[in-house]
Formats: sequence, C-alpha cells, structure tokens
Amino acid sequence: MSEHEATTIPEHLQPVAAALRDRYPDLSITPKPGDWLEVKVEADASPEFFRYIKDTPGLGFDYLLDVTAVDYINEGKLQVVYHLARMGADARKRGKLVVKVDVPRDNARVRTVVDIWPTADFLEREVYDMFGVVFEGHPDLRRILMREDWVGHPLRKDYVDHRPKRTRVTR
Amino acid sequence: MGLITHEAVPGVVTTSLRRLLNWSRKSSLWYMLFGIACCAIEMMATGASRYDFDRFGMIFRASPRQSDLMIVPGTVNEKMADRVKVLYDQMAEPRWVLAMGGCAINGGPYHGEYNIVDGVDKVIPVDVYVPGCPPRPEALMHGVLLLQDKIMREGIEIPAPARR
Ligand code: SF4
Repeated sequence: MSEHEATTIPEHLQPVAAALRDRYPDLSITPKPGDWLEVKVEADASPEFFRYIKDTPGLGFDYLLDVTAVDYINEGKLQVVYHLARMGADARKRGKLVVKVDVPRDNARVRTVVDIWPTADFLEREVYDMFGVVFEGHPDLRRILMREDWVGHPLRKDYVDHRPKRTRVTR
Repeated sequence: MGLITHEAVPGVVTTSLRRLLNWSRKSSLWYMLFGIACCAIEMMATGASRYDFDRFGMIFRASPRQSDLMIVPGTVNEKMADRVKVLYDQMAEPRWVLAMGGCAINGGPYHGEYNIVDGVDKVIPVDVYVPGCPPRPEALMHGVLLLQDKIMREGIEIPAPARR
C-alpha cells in the first residue's frame, strides 16, 4: 500500500458507501487515490449489483468509463474491472467507482452489462478479444481488434504466438 | 540531370530514351494519400507548404491506381497488412515503396508484439528505408532524393554513388 493511499473513506464519498452498505452489508469498500472507491463483487451477484448502482438515487453511476481485465495467472484468476462515473442527475457529485469481479481463468464468464450501459458493447468485446472472458448475454460477442480467425487471447500471460515467421519480400 | 547537352546546336538535347523515361518518372512521383499511424502526421507536414513536396513534382493521389509511390508511414499490424498488400497490388507499374519510420522498417517500438508485422518489407518489397520515430521531414525528403537516384539508375549502369 502506498503511503498516499487513503485508509478512511473521504467525506464526500460517505453517502456512496452508505448506500452500498445499505443493500450489501458485507461489501468490501476501499478508498483509492484519485477519488476512487473500490468494490469487489462476486461474479454471480454482479448483474443485480450493477443495476442497483445505476438506478439508485444518490448513487446514480450512469456512465461506464471502461471495462478491462487483469490476468492474475499465479492465482489462477482473471479480474474483470469496471470503471464508473456519474453524468446524470448526480453529475456534480465527486467520486468514481471501480468494481472488480474475480473469475477463474479456465472458465472466465460474467454476465454482460450491455443492457445496463449500452457502451459496454465494444468494451466487452475488447476484453473478450484480449483476455477470453465470455460475457454471457452479450448481443454480438465477436473479436473487435484482432483478426476474426486469430488463435488465442493476446493479453493472457500464457499467450503463445502461433504466427508463422514472415520473411522479407523482394522484387 | 544526367542529360547530355549538345553545345553545337542551341536548344537541342540528346539523351537515351531510358534516361528520359527515368527522368520523367523521378520528376513526377505521385504518392498515395495513405497513412497508418503517427508517422503519417510527419508525412503530411512534409507535403504541406513549409516543406512542400510539390517542388519535387510530388502530389498525393487518393487512388492507388494513379500513384507511383507508396510511402508507408506507420505501424503495420496483422489486420492492416492485408490491406497494404491489396493497395500495393492495385498500383500500376512502375511503382515504388518507401518505408517511413521504425515501425514500417522492422516494427520499431512495437517489434515482436503480438499483432505487429515486423516491417512492411515482410508484405511488399521496399525500395527506400527512412529511419526515425518519426523521421523529420528533412529525413523523408532525403529518402525521396535517394529514391530519385535509384530511379535514375534503373536500367542503366551507373557506378554508385550516383550523381544527382
Ligand atoms: S516509427 Fe514512431 S512515429 Fe512512426 S509510426 Fe512508428 S511509433 Fe509512430
């Protein structure tokens, strides 16, 4: 833990933490530098949780900044990370939310959030492409960056490059 | 210019057809309007008024079928490689390729990455390599002058270094 890291939840984020604890008493909530609150959620609880943080007045996290993932290969898990902010009625309230969902590496599946935040469409396709996380219920889960016939998911730490060696072309 | 001027008859120039062809080709190198990464910005700067490619007879064409020179300004990734090849195949002979920047030469800062073709010369033949990240317009112009040298020597035996 860095020395700059806040250990207590700052005052302006207290209502957020309170609203979260209200519904999920056991939730681990950690403040992070840069006005972030970090929350860890179980994969099977996540769809309902995301609905809650978007629709509850006082929370109102209606803007999905990013979906990404981290490969913790030594622990055999992938961590799907959601970054959330507020743009609607609660836009003037400071503070952002980072939600982390752990899934096993060999069966990486989470529910899609496209029905909650439509912007998740491309973001989840990228995480699928790079990490092989399957987003169940996604309307169009195809690769987005790599070629469609690509083998493997390049940002996994055990990714093996299967490409044949190319040689120099001359006239 | 390599032309043989005939002092005896004013206004008359004798040369070989080969030289005349090469001279006209090198003097109107139309390059393709095409950029694939950050180096393209520097290529645009070279084409714009401050450095002014026009004075070499170089103007960009928005169609590969009207282009003589393909400047490859940027990172060639696996998806783009097929497109670069298609564009090259659409260009009419004679055609030349200039690899601009570290990326187009051998992958540059992305050498060995999972989605990067390590140099555009793995896809199409390259005539001139201009190193840099990105190369300055001066470097790109130097590359073009080298290419002009090369064009002047095409089909003719001139001991290198050739005279401009
Ligand atoms: S060589 Fe450098 S400037 Fe040029 S495309 Fe590559 S990274 Fe960008």
